[in-house]
Amino acid sequence: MNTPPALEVSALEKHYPRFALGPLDLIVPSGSIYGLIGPNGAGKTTLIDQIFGMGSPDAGTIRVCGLDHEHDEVAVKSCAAYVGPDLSFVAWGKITNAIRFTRGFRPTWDDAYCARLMRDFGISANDRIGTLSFGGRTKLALLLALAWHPQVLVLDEPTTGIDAHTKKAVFVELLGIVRDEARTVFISSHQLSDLERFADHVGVLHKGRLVAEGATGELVERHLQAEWEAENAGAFAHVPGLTLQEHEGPRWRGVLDTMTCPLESLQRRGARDVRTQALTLEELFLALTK
Amino acid sequence: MNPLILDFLRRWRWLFAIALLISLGTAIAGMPFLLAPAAILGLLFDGQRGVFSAVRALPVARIDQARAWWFVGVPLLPLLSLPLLAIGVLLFQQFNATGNPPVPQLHAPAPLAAPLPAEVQAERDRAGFPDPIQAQENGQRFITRVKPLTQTTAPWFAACVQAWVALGYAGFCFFLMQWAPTRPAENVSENVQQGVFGALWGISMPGALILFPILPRSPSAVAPWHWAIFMAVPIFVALSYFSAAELLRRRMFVTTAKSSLHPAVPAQSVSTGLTGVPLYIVNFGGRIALFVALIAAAQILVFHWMMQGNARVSNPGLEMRVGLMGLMGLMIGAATAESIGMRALRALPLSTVKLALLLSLIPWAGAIPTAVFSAVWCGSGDPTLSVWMNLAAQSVALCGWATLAFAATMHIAGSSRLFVLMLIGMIPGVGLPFAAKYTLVFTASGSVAGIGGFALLVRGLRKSSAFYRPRGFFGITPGQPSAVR
Repeated sequence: MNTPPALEVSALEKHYPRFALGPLDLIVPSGSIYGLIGPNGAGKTTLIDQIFGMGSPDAGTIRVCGLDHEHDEVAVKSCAAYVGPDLSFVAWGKITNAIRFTRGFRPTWDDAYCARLMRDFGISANDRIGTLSFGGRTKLALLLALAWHPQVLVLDEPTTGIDAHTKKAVFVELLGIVRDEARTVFISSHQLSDLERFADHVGVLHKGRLVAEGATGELVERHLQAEWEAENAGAFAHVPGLTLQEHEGPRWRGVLDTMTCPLESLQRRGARDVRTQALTLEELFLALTK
Repeated sequence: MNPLILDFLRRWRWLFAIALLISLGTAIAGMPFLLAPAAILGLLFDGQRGVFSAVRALPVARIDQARAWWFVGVPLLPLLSLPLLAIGVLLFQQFNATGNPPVPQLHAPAPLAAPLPAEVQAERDRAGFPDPIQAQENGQRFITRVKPLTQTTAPWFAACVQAWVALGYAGFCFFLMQWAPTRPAENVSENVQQGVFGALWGISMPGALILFPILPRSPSAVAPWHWAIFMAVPIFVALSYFSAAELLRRRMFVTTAKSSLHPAVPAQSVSTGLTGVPLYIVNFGGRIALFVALIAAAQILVFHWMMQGNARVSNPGLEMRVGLMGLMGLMIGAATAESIGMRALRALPLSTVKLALLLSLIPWAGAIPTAVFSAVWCGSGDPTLSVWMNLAAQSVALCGWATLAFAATMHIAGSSRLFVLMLIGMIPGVGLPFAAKYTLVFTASGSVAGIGGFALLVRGLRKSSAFYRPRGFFGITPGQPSAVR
């Protein structure tokens, strides 16, 4: 029997007066870490909000573990956990209250695992949530999301404000649950170097559209930075798979998606003296979202 | 310093405009009234939103920053209102002299009290309820029905009294504000300190609505406690001025806890006791119900003191008592509900309708004790119905309006939601005293409001992005200013 994708977004659209998300199609394979990257205001949080019903899409569907996010909203939230920067548990007073409250909704809650996470993250059940730093609150949100072994973890910038040690601990946990328990992590983050190391798949969101997507290594490998000389200025405009970066006289610079725009196609358009260079994920991100 | 003052005025111009229009209108009507804590409210919002922290890097000496905040919080509104009060008084005198008042008499003279029906009294005696009777004469028992509001005979005196006391009142609130918590209490003494601040602050804001209308409107009405207030004004103004720097210091720097020094608590300690929805109900519903009950009891005691003749004013009457109680209970419940992290709740495995129901429990926890105090203790409602019927009717109505108030404010992420909340809160506040005559209308309107509010809540949970924005609990929650999040 085929396992449905952990997350399947089809033709999703959400319109605001000054911003539009989509149409967006995205598939997160089960048992993987999927990193969603994009500049501020690209629509990452909007997309994640739609998954959990914080706003409803204007068009399109979202399926989590094969379940429709609107018709099966309770089932979706029973298998998916959410961590976001605006998640606040301050009203619960102490950490112990927030844990007890969440436990009541999660039959698979693992007390031993929770205690271990508290130790690893350096937080105590007696701490007052309001007195925690921003990083401390993020750790609590992560703990509440991890301790019941969700099938899908949706993390919206989970490493913002936390120190390098905790960040490492978080990624170790995420890798552990993906490898050992075949669960899925969908993570939106600005920490590109971390994602390049840990994420199996990456999607680049820009101005509400997915501009590049694929297995991390493959995505980075298939994109090349190219420099060439050419006289025909009109030949390189609107070429699929070519993102132009600079143009000064006859000298051109751009990023090639070699899958849709092989080097030969540049040469066919009159490019001379073509030089290429491999990119890191960060360089690719900067080039695609300029 | 001047740019800070002008900036504050620019951002809160609408608040100042409302307060000044009220002073002008009431002065024209011959009943001068100043909304004294308006500027303080703006200042409190600014403090909570991190404005004090944001301006600390500006090239303005800290003492000048403190003076600027003091100026906008304390003397600015009374100063601005002086010319308007004067214009209002002149207009009032002009129209009065021509025998053509610009506004009709608000309350025609009417009997101050009405006898309580014998069968209702008998039922109350049987049930052992507290006696709502305020007067007894020749064996006949009376409840107060009408509170006459009269125009002043000394408008200049009344206007000056309002402006003078407003100055002192703002000074008192400003002085008090330095103890506003910047983070939740960590130990018993901090809890006590925050509790005392919360109680004083909770009394001081709505207290203005009670105090200013009962200030003397003619020299002959001045009582000893009025003299005490008049003399306290310069003291509070001075205290507020000299505490401005300390207030600024406390609001500028927010202390957060270091990494926990406690050893990790064993899992067993968090795996006992209430969890999930029952914990939510006890934790939030119980606390709000208790808090509202305490506030209602305090209000009753204050009014009882006033009814003894201490305030030297006409009997405030049942209408004012239950009206204010309704407004407070509804506002507290609805305002608290929105402080509960909406994103955390939305990610739980609950359907939208169940989540809306869970959220509604908090405003209801504020509304039901209010109805208990109003119907059972104060005996408001239709005298021909039993106490329990009145209680049920008022509970339904208040819960309905509370749901609507909560749902409406959740759709607005900005500070204006406080005024939407007050506006909706005033409807049952005004309506509750009329429940005696129009019980069915009052209950039906509350039911419709409740159904509409619930539908609005469900819609908002599904569609409104404002629902999921971080909120500062109207600027009065303990915690970090949002600017340092």
